[in-house]
Amino acid sequence: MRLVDRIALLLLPLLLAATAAVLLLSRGAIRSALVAQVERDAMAHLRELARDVQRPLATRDELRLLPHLQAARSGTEGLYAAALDASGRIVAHTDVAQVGAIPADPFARDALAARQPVAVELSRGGQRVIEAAAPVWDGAPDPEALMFSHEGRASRARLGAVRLAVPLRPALQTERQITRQIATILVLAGALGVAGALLIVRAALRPVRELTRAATEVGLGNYEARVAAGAKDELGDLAEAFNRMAATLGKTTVSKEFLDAVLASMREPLAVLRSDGRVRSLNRAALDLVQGTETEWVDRHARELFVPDTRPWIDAALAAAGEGGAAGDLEAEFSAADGRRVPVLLSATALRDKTGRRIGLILTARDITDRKRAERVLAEQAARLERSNADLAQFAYAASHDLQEPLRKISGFAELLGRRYRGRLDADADRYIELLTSGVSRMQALISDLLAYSRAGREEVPLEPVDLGEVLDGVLADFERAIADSGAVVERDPMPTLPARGTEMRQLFQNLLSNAVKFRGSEPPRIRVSARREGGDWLLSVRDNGIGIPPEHQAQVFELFRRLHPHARYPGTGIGLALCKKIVESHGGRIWLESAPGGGSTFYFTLRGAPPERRKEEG
Amino acid sequence: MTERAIVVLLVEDDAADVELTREAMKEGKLFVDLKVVEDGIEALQYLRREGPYADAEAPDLVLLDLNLPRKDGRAVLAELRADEALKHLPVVVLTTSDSATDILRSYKLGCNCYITKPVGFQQFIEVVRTIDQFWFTVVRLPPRAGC
Repeated sequence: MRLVDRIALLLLPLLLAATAAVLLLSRGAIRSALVAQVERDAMAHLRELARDVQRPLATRDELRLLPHLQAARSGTEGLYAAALDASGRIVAHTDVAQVGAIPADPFARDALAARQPVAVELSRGGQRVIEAAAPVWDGAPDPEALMFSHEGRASRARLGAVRLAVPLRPALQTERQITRQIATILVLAGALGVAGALLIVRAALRPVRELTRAATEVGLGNYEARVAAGAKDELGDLAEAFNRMAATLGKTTVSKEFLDAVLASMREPLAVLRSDGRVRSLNRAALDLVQGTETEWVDRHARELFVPDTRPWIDAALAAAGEGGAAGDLEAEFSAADGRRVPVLLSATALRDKTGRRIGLILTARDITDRKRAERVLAEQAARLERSNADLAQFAYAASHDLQEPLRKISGFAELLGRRYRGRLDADADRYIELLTSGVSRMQALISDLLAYSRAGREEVPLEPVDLGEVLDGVLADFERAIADSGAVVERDPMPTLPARGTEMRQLFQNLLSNAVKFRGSEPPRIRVSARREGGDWLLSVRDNGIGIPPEHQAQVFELFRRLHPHARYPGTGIGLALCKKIVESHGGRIWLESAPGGGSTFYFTLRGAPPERRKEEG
Repeated sequence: MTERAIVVLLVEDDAADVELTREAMKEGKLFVDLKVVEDGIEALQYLRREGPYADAEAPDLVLLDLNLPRKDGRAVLAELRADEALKHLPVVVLTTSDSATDILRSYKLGCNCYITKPVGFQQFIEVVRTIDQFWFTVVRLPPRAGC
């Protein structure tokens, strides 16, 4: 039963009883007050009557008595008024038919014998009346004096008595009316009171309902549930205490449902094991992975989750975790029910209770099927690439090497021919020998460049600190003649020392500088070699004031055998810049150019700086 | 030494190379008696005067190619250096290979010097002249085997 109902049930009988009591008591009081009023009125009239009828009664003059009696009756709205002689006979009566009779009602004797006016309430003919009587004395001048002088009264002769009967009906009607009004008021007040009380109780219970809701939520594991802070009363205090409790619970306790939900929602397979390695529970992800049910797995040893050849690992990991350590990032393979092997990354840790006691082990795994597949594909690709690179390098080397062999003979005999027979044959023959020789030297240049290209960027040759300043000195020394012939001016920044392959650095500068001299315009070449530190790397550049490269060809110049000019004007193999690119990229750098036709070219390339410990040696 | 032509054994299977060497010596005006064998087995037979080479003239210098049929130059070098009668003989490796591995290996096997065949004929003449200059003018050679 609700509290409100209980309060209503308790309140209602109380209210009814109180109403009844009030009605009863007030009714009695009102009745007696009203009856007393009637009685007083009757007595007052009676006393006046007794005084007024003294003489006519003494003379038994009915006709003179009657107006007095009628005045008294109508004054009191009585039933009747009568005057009696001392013997009790009716001398005059408002009901003339009664004259001469001796009344025999129960009050008759008292009425006649009374020395004072008396009144009595009795029932007459089914209705309540006040019968009142007063003695009439002979020659009593002052009825007031009579009341205080019994001696005087005793000495006087009783003439008879007057009687008056007043019905109580009007008074009783009034009494009932008043009582009804009181009852109505009481009932209304009671009803209002009850309704008000219920409203107040309901209002007071609202925080209680709110608390109930919050408590239910906490019961379901939602420790975030809070009650709106209420007024500063007992319920407000309760709400505050509840909120504090929920907060504390939320901080200290996690419900089983909550934990279960977390485990079930985890993407990573997780197994809870007993200390001996047997399965206590598996989460959904783990079950999905091994395609089993929990009942199937509970109490089996965890190693059975895995394919046989990784089981020793698992045992070792479990042992390590069991001894308090943790084993992480082990690669293992789950054995699925359908025989598939699922590669996973495994971690094992000890499961401890609040006191730090070991109560089991936790195994978590991550499905790395995709990663494994990607790794395998990548490894295969890398191997393929390495093979094809090696094949290519081998091919290029062998080809250029083997090409050189017959070429050496062609060149040898062409030269021999020239030496022995120049001038002895005709002019055409001499020109043929010339062309043969130049063709051969071009072929030789091609082959030797191709050889250099195929050899460049071999990563098995380790990087060693190379002083680029020294390299540049060497290259410039080689070009001394070409520089002098062309009237070139070379400016240079201080060059860094950095990890590189010396021969390749030399080839790099050789190619860039020879291009700068070779592709000169009408002006003598001005060449600037710059070096600038950029973070851990170096940005180097070779700028010239030569013929430049049109934008549409700039992307092509680093391609193998790509030449932009006829051989007769700018001889070359078309390998130089491709070689530069290969060298720079094999050192982990980038190479690019900025150029405008007629505005010179700047070749930029980056090289990795020395690691910190090397840098210190430099400084 | 000047009264007698210097004897050089050229171990070379390539006829063109033999011809070029011969011509380079001629162009370089070298007074050299050039004997030629075509593979490693013949070279060893010649040096040990076995079979057809029983009466062969002992050489002052061996010019040895590395890539030879039947028995290659490296094996020949190894056997020469293991042979008490021949280990003193100066051997110049003359080959097309310029690989560091071949160079190192040849010196380890005991060659006296390693020369990569130059590409141009003019340079080849220079090389041959230098060999002549160095080995037969500058250097004192051991007494000729069998003398």
